[in-house]
Amino acid sequence: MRTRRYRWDTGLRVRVLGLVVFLLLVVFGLGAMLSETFVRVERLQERADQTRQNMVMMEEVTGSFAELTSALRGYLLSGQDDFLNPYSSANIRVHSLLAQLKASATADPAQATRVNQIIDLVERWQTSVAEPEIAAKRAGNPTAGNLVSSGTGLSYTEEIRATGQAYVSTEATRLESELASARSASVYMRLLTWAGASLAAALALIGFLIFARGVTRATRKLAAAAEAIARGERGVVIEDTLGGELQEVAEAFSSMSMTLAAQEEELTAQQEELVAQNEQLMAQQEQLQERAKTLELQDARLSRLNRMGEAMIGTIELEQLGRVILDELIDLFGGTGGALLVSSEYGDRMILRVQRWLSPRLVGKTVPIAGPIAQCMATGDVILSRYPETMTKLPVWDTEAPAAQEVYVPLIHAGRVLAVVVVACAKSGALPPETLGLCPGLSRQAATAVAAALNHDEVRRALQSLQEQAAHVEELNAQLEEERDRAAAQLDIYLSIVTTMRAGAWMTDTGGRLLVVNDTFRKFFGEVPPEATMDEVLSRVSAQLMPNDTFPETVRSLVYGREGTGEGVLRLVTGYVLQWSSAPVGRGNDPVGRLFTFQDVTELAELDRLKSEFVNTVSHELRTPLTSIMGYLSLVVSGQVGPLQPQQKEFLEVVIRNTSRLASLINDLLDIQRIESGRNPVQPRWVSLTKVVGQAAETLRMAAAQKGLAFQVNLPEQDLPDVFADPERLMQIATNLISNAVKYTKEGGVTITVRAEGQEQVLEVSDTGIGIPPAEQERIFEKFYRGEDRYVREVGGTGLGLSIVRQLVEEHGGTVSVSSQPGVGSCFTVRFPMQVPQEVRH
Amino acid sequence: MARILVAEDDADIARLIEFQLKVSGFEVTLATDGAEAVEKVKASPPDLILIDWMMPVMDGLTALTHLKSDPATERIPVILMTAKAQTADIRTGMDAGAAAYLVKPFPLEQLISTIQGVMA
Repeated sequence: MRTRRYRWDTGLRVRVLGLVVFLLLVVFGLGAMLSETFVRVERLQERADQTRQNMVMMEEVTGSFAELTSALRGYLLSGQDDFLNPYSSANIRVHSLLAQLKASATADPAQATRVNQIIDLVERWQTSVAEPEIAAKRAGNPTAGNLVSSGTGLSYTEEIRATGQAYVSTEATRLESELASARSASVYMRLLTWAGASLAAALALIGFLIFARGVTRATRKLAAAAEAIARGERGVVIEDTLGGELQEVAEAFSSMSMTLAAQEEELTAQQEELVAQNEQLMAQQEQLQERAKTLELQDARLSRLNRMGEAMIGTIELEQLGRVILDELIDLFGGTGGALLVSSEYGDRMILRVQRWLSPRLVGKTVPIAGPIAQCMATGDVILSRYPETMTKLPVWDTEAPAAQEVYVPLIHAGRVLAVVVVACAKSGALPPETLGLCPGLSRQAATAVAAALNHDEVRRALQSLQEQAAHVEELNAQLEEERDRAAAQLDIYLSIVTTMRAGAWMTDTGGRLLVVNDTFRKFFGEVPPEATMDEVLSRVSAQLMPNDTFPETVRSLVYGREGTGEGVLRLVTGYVLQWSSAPVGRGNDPVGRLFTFQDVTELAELDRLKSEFVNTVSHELRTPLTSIMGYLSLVVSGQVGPLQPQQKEFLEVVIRNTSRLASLINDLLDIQRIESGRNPVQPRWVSLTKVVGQAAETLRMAAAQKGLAFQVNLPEQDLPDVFADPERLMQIATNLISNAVKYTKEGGVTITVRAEGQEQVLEVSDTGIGIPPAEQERIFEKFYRGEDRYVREVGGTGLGLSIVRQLVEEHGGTVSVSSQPGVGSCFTVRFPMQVPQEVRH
Repeated sequence: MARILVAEDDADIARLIEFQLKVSGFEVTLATDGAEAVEKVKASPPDLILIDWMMPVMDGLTALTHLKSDPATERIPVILMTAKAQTADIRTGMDAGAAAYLVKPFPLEQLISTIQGVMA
């Protein structure tokens, strides 16, 4: 300033100077306020950043805790140690996050308390729920998992989540207020800039007005300059033409104007900077809003995870679990239905285990691993598949509107794709990123649960098959018990019969151990200790038998042979004669033991002995005189002792004929009496039919030769197998037939043949005799029937021979038949079976 | 001339047989029981033996068994005569080694033809 060169009115000078000083003070003050506001905005921004970070960390804490619980559940359900790895890593994450949060929350005591509370809750959850459960599971305690799924575990989870949410919402509120402060600070700054500019302009105007009042000469120029300044022109300089003080004023004004202009420029620059900063703040605010939106989505994701986790708690059945997972994913993708495909025992196909909103018929069907399924399994990614490009579809999508698009989500557990979730969507199009972002978490949690459920499924199937087997075994046991009861009841019946029967009885079990003997048995053989072995009983029986009796061996072979019957006669040293018989007792091929009965036939045996003695005596006593009669008669008739009149000879021949008839009558009567009494049972053994017939033929060869008959015996050159028959009876059959043939043949011959025919052996006796008229052929086997032929009457006979033959043949299971032509001859054919006939087998 | 030993306890029958055999040209020795028959056979072996079954002292079957068990006499054919007409008896006799079996009563022609058959 060049104030000394011009004489200025002191008052004006002072006033101008004061004004200028005041003006400068105001401008500097405004500048200081602006810079202070700027610093404040920056600090607000920093705090907003910290708050955002806190919110994110808290979200991560709750998210990690959810993973912690689901990993624990997985371990508790499956008991597999690899579930403990995610559990430990989530545990470390939770604790480090909480430590960071605690460090940053020192400024706010309320938030610090919340963080401490969460730390405390997590500690308590671990010590009172997680660790005891893991320990219980390791110890194989079956109630493991109860705490997690029960109120205790859930209340911790819920409290932690609630506290986390409270923390987050408080931080969000704070963020809002910090953002609001930042906004108001920026508005304040703008106002301040404008206010400074306006104030400077106003002060300049006032200075001019004051100056103008004192300096009239420079008024116009000053006015013009002021006008220019008022118009907004900066750096207005008053021309040097004013001179004197005014010049100084003008110079001062010019200088002031310049200063103002410079300051205004500075202010403008500052304002521009502020505007830019404001824009930055706005952008940051937008970012913050976006972040808040993301946080909202994360919150939605967390609540989905929680919702699914809660739904899955206590759900170990695959079907129920599948419905929860499908509902969640269908809801997430906005689908119309979905299905859970699980790897099947056929390596190249998956089996559809659970469906929602499709068709129940789909459950259990298999789907080839191809197309999007194969892609999904190979990559482990979520795959979108749009119709009609899809090469492989599920067999039937039963929805009314066919799906426009399918989403395939792999469920990966322990690095393996366990299952694939297919969701059918009515609309096609790319999935929004926030939806896709939710997929990994959901599928991880679902995979853990599905792995546990599949394990459980396998265990349940194994258990079911075990139960089925157990039921089967039980059924078999019941059957066995029933059969045992039936056998025991049967045995009781047998035992009661045995103890009350009149014959002696001894019953053993299949091993020969004594079941029961009755009083009659004790009378014959003495006392027997209860449950005696077979040898103990047999030693008592042997003591009563004649020496060398084979009965004990017979008993052993019957008992150990289990099957078959036996009978015979025993003579005891005490004089008893016992008829014994034995048969297995019990049903069919399952005998429970064997019964021996001993009938006292002492008196019958004596009678029999007397009778056979009588018969022998009678036959001898009758035949001996008959022999004399016949011999002497034939001697007389033969004329060897002197010639006879023809009439005498004829009559004597009648006597001879009737004598021989009497003799054969005696034979036949004795035979038939023996057969019919049944006293002499068939005693079959293996015997050669050829040999027996040969013997019979030889005894009759003489008789045939005497009548001048040809006598031909055709026996087989090669030995035939033996037949099972009573040799005495075979002999009688052959003898009767051959003697008949000789008797009824006047000329020609008799032919005897033995041969095998299929399963039979045949005896054929043919003759060239008188023959039998067809009308009589049926009757000749009747007892006492004799032919009408005169010759038959002449020859004489009892009419018993053929009836005896038929009876004996039939006893052996054979047949006898005749073919005959009167005047030509007869042929009798007997057929014996080669097998053992049932009725004569022991 | 063939020699036949006849063992028969019934004197009437013994005489009848002796007569018939002598008429038919045989030389006949008689015995009245089995023991005597065995004794006479051993003393002087005949060409054929005709023996009754039921005799006192020793029956014909026992005598037959004795003769068949002695190498000196086992080749002599024996015809068993008996009133025992049952097939079981016939078998017993044949099994014991009898060459033929005559059931009493028998016609004399049968006796002669049987002897001729056995000796042929």
